[in-house]
Amino acid sequence: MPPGQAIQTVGLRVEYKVGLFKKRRVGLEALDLAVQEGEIFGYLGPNGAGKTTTIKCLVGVIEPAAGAAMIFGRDARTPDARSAVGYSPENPYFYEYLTGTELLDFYGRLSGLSRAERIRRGAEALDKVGLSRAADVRLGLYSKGMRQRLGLAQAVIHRPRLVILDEPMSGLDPVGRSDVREFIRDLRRSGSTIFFSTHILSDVEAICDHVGVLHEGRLIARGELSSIVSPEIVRTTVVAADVPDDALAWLGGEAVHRDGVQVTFHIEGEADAAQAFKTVSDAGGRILSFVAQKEDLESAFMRLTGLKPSGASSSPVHMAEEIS
Amino acid sequence: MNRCRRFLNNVVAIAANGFREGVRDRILYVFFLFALAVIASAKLIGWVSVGEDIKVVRDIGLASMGLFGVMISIFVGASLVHREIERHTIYTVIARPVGRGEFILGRYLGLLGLVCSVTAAMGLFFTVYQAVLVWSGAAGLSDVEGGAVPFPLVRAQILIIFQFVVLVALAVFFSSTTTPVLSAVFTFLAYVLGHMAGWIYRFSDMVLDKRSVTVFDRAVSLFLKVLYYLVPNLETFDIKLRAVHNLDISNFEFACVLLYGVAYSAAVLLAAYLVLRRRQL
Repeated sequence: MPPGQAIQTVGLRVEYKVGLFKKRRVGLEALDLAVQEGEIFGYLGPNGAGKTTTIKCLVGVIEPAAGAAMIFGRDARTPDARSAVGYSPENPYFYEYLTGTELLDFYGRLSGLSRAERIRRGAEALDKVGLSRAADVRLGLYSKGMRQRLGLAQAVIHRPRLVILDEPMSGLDPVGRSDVREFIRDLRRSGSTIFFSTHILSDVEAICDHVGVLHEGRLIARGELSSIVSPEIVRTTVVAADVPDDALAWLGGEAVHRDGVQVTFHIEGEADAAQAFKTVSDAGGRILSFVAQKEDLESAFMRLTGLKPSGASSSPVHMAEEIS
Repeated sequence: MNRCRRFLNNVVAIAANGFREGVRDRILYVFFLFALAVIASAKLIGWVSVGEDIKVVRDIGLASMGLFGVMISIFVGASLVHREIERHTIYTVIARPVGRGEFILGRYLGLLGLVCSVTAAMGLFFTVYQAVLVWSGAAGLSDVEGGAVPFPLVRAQILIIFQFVVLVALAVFFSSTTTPVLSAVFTFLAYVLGHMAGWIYRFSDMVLDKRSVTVFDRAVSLFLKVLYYLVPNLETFDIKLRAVHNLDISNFEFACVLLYGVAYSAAVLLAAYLVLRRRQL
């Protein structure tokens, strides 16, 4: 394993036995993944793609049928490797009879912290996720969002070098999601590596250095965001005024929106955009706005996975939820 | 932290957490108060049997301690590991530097500690209750025993607790392998068969004790022999009858029973660990 790698998987394969006759189902197939130390890595994929399965392998909850998963060069199945990991599962569910403080004390103890450290860091962690006021409330009374925040707190109480978060923004309101983004950025600033899975693409675009796209158990793309998203201009939106009708006909009737003397039209492709600019100018029209759009992560995700949105009017966030 | 220290730390942390879970479960207090009520009401039944008051009180007291301990072991133990897997609480524990063997042992010791504490509390109440009866002359046996609780009775209580050492291990094993309902059924079955161990062995011989022995007879005999060696011999832990009549057992026999309980439980816990190790959570 090269130095500086927080996570490396080589040919990782996971199988599940399902049904009465224990039929084998492949959860992950030949997964080769590398995450550098100190980066924020977004692990993307629709539901059922194998994101949680990968994470379970990394934290030693399930064993691969083939291949290996390494954490800082150590076999992920060993307790030594896991001592460097903080993990928050999807929809975390904790012991309901404990309070927030007691839960963090329990996990701190399992991570080998002394009593004094557990008290100090427990209070710090609760404060960091905004749960100080609920510290002595039993977890049975926590809302979903509060449990999600507590999941983050327990994941970082021992200040791990690697933090693995499974769908950390799931079920949170916009403020909560923004808080979690800031929490992840803070972690990186303190030197941790963050690996998180999600299907909310805007979160990935906002904070990730590198991404991996998983589909049906296979890693279909990985790298920097710029390498996943096509650099070509896919669409240009032009707003113009005083454009003669014959020029508009050339631009394509259906794409045109007219508002008095002002028209808005969309042009697919880079070459056609230049031609449209020239046509409007030559016809005596005035260009008010000319916005070129590159492919966004959502479009790249659709292109890579071959998935199609079920409704054309969906916003990026809704679109991601619809995929699932 | 070295490996040995980490092992102890993790086992104690998980056990303490399991103990706390039990203590905060209201059903435990229902069982406990009901057991105390049964022990306290034993005197009423004792009045029916003239001159045998204290024996009836002891009989009912020891039986209640055993019965309610068994009920707690089965009801709490049946879902002990299964619930952790079903609710995914095990994920965040296993994701720490915690081995699955430590998890099993911790959960086991947590429940065992709970059952032992409850039984010990019942035993304390039982002992004080007897002392009060003897002191007040209500039991009518103070001259014979000098007001002290007989030593065989103390040993009987210790063996009742050791019976739970075995039973809780079985509950943990079954809850690692199957659903809470089936786990409760299997643990109860093991408890019942365990108290019939001597009969099972004798019956396995009786099946062959006739003139013409068929293949079926041999198969039944073999099945019963295997069953005899698989189920825990809980009869060896049951010295209530002797204790009530103030008959003691030898130190050697007492030590052998304790050793048997520990060895049987260790084997069952090892099996539970092997099941959990292979299991994809």
